[in-house]
Amino acid sequence: MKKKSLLILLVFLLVFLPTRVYAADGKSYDYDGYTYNYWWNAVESPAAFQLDTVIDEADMGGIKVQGFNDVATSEDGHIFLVDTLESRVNITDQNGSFIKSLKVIRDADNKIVIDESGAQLVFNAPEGVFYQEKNKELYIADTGAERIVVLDGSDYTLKRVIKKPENMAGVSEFRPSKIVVDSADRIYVVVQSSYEGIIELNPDGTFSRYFGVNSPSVNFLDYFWKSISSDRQKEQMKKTFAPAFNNVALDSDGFVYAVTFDAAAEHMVFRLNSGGKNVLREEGNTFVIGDIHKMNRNEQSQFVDVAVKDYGTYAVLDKYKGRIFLYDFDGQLLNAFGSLGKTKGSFSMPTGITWSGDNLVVTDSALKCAYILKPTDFGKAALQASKSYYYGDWDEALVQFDNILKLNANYEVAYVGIGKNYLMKDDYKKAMYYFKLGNNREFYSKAYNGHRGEVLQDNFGIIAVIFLAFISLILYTEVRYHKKESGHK
Amino acid sequence: MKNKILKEQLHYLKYAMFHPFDGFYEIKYRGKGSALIASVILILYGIMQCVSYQYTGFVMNMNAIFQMNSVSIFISALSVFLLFTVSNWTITTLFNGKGNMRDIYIVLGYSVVPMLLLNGLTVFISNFVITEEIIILRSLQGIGVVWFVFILLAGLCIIHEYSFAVNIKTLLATAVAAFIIVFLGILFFSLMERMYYFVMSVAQEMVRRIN
Repeated sequence: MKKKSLLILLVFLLVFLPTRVYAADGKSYDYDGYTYNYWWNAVESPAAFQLDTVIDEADMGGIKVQGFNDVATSEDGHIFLVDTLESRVNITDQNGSFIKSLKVIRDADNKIVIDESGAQLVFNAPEGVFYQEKNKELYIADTGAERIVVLDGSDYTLKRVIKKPENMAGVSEFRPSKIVVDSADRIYVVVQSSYEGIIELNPDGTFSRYFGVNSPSVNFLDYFWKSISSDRQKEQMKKTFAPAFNNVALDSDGFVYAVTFDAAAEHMVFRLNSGGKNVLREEGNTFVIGDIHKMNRNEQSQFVDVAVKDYGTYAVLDKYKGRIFLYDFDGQLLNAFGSLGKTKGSFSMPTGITWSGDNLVVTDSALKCAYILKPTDFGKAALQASKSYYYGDWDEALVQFDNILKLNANYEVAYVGIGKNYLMKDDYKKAMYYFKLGNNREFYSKAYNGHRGEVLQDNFGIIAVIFLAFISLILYTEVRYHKKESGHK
Repeated sequence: MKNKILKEQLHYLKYAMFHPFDGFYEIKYRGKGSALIASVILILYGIMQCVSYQYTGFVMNMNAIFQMNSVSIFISALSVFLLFTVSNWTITTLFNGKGNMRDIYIVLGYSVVPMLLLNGLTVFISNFVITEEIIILRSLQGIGVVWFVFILLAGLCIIHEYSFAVNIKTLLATAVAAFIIVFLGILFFSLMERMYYFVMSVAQEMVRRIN
């Protein structure tokens, strides 16, 4: 009797205790993820990342933090965080433990550098930072002082200072905000609200050109009024400027990724080739615009930063809804997660994002902290699948896609990936099955073409017989008809 | 006897498809048409819209089948024809058209037949095509639409005893009339809704005061 009541109690506990178990280490934070399906409906999905570590003032060894505005990482695991209001660059290791804070620049002999006016060389409201692996150099966009400071990547002593180039053309002010340096040492500088494009500097610091075209989307009504108005009227009208780029990143092939959150821009994310043309692939269910708002254009996502993995998977950070969107190199949305708020794990004014290995580092200027986000099981599988797929490692990709489908059966990207794998092996029936689940009509058609060819080939005898029978039937009726006609005469 | 009449009516249905001018002349002035057959055709057309939503081959079918609503597809397919019948009748009575509502309805029903058949054919074949061959099926559908428009124009010319130019003018007027009908309909329903809520709130207020 006692046993029975115990059993009932056990069942009762199992049923009514909360079944959703959170990681109990006290630092993880679960996000709710989603993707968009073929019909642009949001579909729930596990989030690809979870919060691992919060880096805030408590970790900074007594240094005040007023909000981080940009972040960069190096391959050996250092994280560089820019604090604009405090005019500091704080350096931590990959787990968020404090290493060093930079404010006053010293030279190789450990002496404080004096600039030409006799004052100490001190950061003045820097907004951007970039670590170049090739030369092991740390580039800091010292916005307030209108210069770029280049430091040595190991002991952080001054290497050189890049000021406004004398041969610079155009009307843009030289207030470097965000910065990347490619493997040929060309420096790409973003100046906020400059409509001329990204400034490209030669390795020696001279001006090369404005880079990248960001075309405004033209409103038909404006176009109509402009086309019928006189020159004097046109002078009175508001000018349409090319939208400004807001942030840049670099991928492993040397292409510059840029983002904008200007509402007038036609595209939001750019992959610029050496000619400055946008070559971003947008082959997914949706365009690379973040959230889809079928009704209201003003509610579109506002991207403040982009981080690119070496296999072309990139994450963009949206400040409007505090979301991170993860796209693969084809422009397919892998996952979206995150929200605005004041609590741990949510964002208030997100400013920068970058990869640190497979982790993401996100900075927030209003919450005065940076998050290290760690991929979840789903995220690991998604990244791994994306990587294997990019490098053509098909068997590995198939395994990972299968893993993903066990965690998230709504994931169209995985179905399409598996389908492509079977299509390569000429297993058309299976490929068709998966393409149908993944809602990919283009590849379904390719698989069906193969399948139809096989069916026709296998049943060629029967089809030929039917065809011949049909022809002879027509011939027979024609002959009989003519015989009848001539008989009447 | 009844069988024979039906057979004759079906014969004229086929005749009107290929010889619309003569066919519709016979239908109007010798009573060879049937509103029943026209109704059956329109209902079949509504069903065909549902069928094509669901059973068009995957390569051509962009519809979200899991959220299909066959009733709304059926009604929205047929309401266009009903709206056309009513608005065309209102206009042509003003413009000395000789056709009555029944004639317009029959012309409309009969002229849908080629579109209906070609749509059916397209839905069937679409299950066996790849992306590159879609354009063939689209042109097949296009032929159906052109055929439908041609028969409709010819039929309306005959039953109203219009010249082609007047026919086009009345059709434009028909579009305006249809727009007005829809506008009035929406106005009416929204007013009715407001009135309903007004009466309801007055009633509620009264009930509360009395209690």
